[in-house]
Amino acid sequence: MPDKTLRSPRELNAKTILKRLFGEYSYVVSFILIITIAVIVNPNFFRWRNFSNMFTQSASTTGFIALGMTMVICAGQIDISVGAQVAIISGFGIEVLNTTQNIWIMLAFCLALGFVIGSFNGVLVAKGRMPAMIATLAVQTSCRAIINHFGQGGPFSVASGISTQPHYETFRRVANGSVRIFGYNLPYPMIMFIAAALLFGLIMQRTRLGKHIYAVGSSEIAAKMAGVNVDRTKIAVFAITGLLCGFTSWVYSSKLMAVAAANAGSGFEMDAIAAVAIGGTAMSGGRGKIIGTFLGVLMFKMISNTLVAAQVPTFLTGAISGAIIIIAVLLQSMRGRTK
Amino acid sequence: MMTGKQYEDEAFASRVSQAREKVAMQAEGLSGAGFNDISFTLREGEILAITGLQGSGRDQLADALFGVIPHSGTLLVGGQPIRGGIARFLKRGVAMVPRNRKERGILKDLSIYDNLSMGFINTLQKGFIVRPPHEKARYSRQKQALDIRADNPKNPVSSLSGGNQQKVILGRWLETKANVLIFDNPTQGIDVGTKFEIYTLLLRLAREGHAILVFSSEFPEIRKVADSCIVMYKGEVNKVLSREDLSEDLLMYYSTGSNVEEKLHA
Repeated sequence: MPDKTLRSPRELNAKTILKRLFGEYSYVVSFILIITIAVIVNPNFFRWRNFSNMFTQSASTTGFIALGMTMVICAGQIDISVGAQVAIISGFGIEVLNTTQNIWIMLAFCLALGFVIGSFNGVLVAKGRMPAMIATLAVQTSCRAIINHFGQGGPFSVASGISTQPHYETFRRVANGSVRIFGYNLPYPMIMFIAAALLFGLIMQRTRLGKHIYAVGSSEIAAKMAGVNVDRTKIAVFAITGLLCGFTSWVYSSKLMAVAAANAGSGFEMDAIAAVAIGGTAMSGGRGKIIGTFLGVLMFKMISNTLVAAQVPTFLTGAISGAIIIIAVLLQSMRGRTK
Repeated sequence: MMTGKQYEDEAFASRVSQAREKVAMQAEGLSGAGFNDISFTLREGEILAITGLQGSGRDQLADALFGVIPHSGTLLVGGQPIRGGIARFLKRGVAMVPRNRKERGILKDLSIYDNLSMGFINTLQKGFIVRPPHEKARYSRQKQALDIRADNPKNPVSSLSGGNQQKVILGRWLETKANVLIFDNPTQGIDVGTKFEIYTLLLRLAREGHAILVFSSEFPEIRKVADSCIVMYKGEVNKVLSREDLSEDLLMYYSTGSNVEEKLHA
């Protein structure tokens, strides 16, 4: 009987290698490309200080959030409330720190508030059957409005009157401190970001939750027929993203020591989505890797640093993240069409 | 090239029912959206076919028997009444190979490994971690049992032919100790040779003691595997045909409701 299912064993010709490189592993290609450009524009690129700064900047802004966003997008959803979440959590978080003078209570508060807001997003989407775009847009607007109201236009600052007290310096060190290993300064945010990326990579590849996320993003009805609890999976991805917004708020507040209600975390959603997109995650769900997003976050930072080095006006960086999303998604859809 | 004709009845005509004493699933006056007052008894080792035209309520009945849509009336699994969603049904050993494989069956972006392991992950797995060596072991067990032909099990399941995709989905449930297997239009869009393999598999599973429901609209298929066949018309059981009575004419006669209409016009 002729067997159509067996193809000739592993065709490893140049064509298939190229196809996989530009398909499945496109983020590696873009990473090399962007490093090359970055090195040309900025000869100091490989200096350790420049390198570790890149990590610190990413981790105290959109790095962690992009990891959660990968889960959300892999599950076929989207979360555009992350920037406003960071604003509201940072604002109240700093108030908590000023009141309790304990950075760990502040961390617990940030995580808890992020978890609550994220779960709320998830419940709206899963149980309320709302499109994720609309639900998280509404939450975004509400969060921003609430923190603007409490901020009354002014910033939330870690009270400077207590700068003589020990916890002030302890908190500043969360984002600005580092440990010295083998002669290299490893900033805390760099260590935290790498650890988080490893953890999330494992969750996506090696746990039931990870398999469920890919299943739901692949096809909700097929996932349901395979016994996956679709609603619970959706709530989980939004809740985890909320947790990461909480954690980011902690690092972000420490980096800045004062956050303005009106523009804290603004544009984080776009930057995170852009990092996920250049990381090769399919915007339609079901496919994507944490390692791609990890490199995507760094690539995104390299691009903006390179633009600064090339003296592109800072106000235009938003246009750049827009362009990155457009290019990355266009490439994906073109790939889908040729298949 | 082989055609269906050559397989016709050669291996299947002589078979005798493997039905045992123990009842695996029993419906009494089962109703829901699209079907009404359905009763049947399914024993271990038995293959019961359910047929009917489009709109006869067949699809909805299949969904209700797996907890996809709710039902009223009594449904017993292993002698105990069952309610609730898919998770409850899975826990009680009911599994389904759904119709519309491409939309409802396969998880198209996931690897063959993951597709096959999804059943185990959602039922028997203790804890949170999925271990690749265990996934591999499950796959090679089912690959051998079902003769799944795949180049590389790490590839997406959509790289397989329709028949092999269907075997992966069946293997998914065979790794869960499910004993009531519901096949909803299982050979849709599958080539003739593989259809034959699937029929042979159905008979083997019945011999091993599984209770099997086959929802189908193809007479040759029903003829080959079924011990008896329920014919649905307008959401209700119109006729139950035993294996001896089964013929294409009778099947059409009852699924178009000709008996009902005749009475009406008499």
